[in-house]
Amino acid sequence: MASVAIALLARLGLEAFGKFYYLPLIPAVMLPALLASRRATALAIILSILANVVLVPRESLTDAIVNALLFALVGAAIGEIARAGRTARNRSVQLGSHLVKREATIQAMLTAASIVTLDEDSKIISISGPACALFKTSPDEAVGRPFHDFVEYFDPAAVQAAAGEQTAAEQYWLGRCSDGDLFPVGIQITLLPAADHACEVILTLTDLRLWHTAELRNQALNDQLNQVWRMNSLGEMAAILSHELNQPLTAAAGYLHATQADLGRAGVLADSASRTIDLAKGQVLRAGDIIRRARDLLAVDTRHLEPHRLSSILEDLEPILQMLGPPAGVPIQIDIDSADDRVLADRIQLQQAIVNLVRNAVEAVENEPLREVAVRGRAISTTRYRLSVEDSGPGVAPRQMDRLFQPMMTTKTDGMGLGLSVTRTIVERHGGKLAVDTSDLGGAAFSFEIQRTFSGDES
Amino acid sequence: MTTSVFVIDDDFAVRDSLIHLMRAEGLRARGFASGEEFFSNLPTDPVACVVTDLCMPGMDGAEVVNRIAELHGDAWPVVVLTGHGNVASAVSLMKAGVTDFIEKPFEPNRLIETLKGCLSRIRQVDERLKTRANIDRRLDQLTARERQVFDQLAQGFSNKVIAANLEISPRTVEIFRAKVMTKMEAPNLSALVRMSLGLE
Repeated sequence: MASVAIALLARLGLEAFGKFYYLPLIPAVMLPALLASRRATALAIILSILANVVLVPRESLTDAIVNALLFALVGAAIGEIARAGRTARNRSVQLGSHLVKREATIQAMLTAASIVTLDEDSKIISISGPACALFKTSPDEAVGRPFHDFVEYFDPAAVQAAAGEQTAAEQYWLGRCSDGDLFPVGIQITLLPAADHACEVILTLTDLRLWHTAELRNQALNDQLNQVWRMNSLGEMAAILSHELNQPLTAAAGYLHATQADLGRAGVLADSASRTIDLAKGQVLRAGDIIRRARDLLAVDTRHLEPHRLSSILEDLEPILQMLGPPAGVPIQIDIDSADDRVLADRIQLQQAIVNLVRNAVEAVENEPLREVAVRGRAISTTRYRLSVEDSGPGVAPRQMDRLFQPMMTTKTDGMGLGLSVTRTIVERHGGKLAVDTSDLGGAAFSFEIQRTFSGDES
Repeated sequence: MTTSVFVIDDDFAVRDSLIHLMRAEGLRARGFASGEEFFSNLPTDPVACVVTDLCMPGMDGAEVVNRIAELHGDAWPVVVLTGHGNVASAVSLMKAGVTDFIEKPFEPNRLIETLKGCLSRIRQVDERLKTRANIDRRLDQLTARERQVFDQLAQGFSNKVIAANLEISPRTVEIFRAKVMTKMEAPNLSALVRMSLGLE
């Protein structure tokens, strides 16, 4: 409105110099078009036309209408052009600030992440601060050198091939620090096609030292458990065999002795036969001795039980249990009351027993719709702590109950039937008794009690 | 009557050979396939030897030992046979009164020697039991007053003291005393006192 008023004043001033019609009013339309909205522009156009019609006398009506329409068209066109220009300018300003933000974000990420970019010959183009720290080098030293100076046998093609088969955590490379130390490093690779067909390679490095140490520890525990399992099952096997063989040997010795006694009544004629029988009896007893020695040799070393915290025993075991359960789609819930969980135990043996029970539980629920396995621990009295492994499987059939702990008895197609037998032996060595019951999860609950100890007893 | 040896073992061959062995050595033997079978056909012998296996399905050797100890004490000595020496169970079984603990397989002579030792010991037990049964039978024949006089005599009181204690005349005491001696078949006072000791 103001612009139209100013323009009208100017127009009136200009009237003295001749007929200009609408020309002086163009700025009055341009001003709102540049600064204000479309509605303001339209208002300016209408006001200008009205002012012109009122103020300027016309020769004819046609002339006045044509002039007014032309002015309206020109005004609208000016308005639209000015608006388009303004929107484009706004957008470019926005885009500019967005780019600045993005740049800052990427920069921040780059300074925090270990990133190396390589050219097509695997030479380093740039290296981020953390990556420098990883290799104990500086950007000046590193740039321009081939990347396999830092990571042994590095080959981008191999990294890509490996990424398809294994997860990054399982695949690692050996990084070399400038002081010669080697360390495990994970590499993720991104290829950027450059303008001249050569590829630029962006590598994201992950320091796997901590992961690697943890992995090594789990591996060591797993190896140890396997070793213990082999010894335990051998010992169990020897015990079973010696028990089974001792029965017929006892019977044989008994029969031979009875024969000898009968022969004794036959007088001197039977002396020679009696001596031979005596020799046979000696051999039977020798077989018994051999079995006994073999058994003693293979018997699991019953080390002294020491105070341990059950929660710590289970904590160590957790990665191993996680290898058993989740791959089969069975979550394992560990619920150990860690307040009074100090017990007398042979750590690795007890871990073996728990792993055996959990493995059984996982196998029991594998093909069930509901898959749950829980390891629970509670102090049940001042002297006893109760540990149970429960599952949501089909449970143990009553007719299998009493045969369950017998060695060489198995419900599995691929088992020796030693697992529960070994577990029971371990539990008994801890002064407990392995019992089986029905779990509130719906399946079997294997439980045992072991001796608690108090913090004061800790050596 | 010869004392019996009862063999409890779930393994037929072991049981059978042990019975053969004992019979060849002149012992009376009888076999049972399990603790349950043994206790449901429990022999009534006042004295006997028991040889039991330790590891058996169902009732195990330890329970057999405990039940026999409860029922008969040392009148029924028990020998335990075991697959492999288990120190902990050996100790607890010895405490429960097991005579011997033999690891399979064994030199049969060892079992025979152990059993013969048991048999000679329980023969004494048997005699003691018989004597006591005799005394009990004779005591049952005494009247209430005679029993009072017997108790006083056993404590070594003289006729006069007994008369005062029981508030009867010394002459009556003498009559009762003669009756007690006859009924108890005691040749003299000291024999009578020995009988009273056998009761305790």
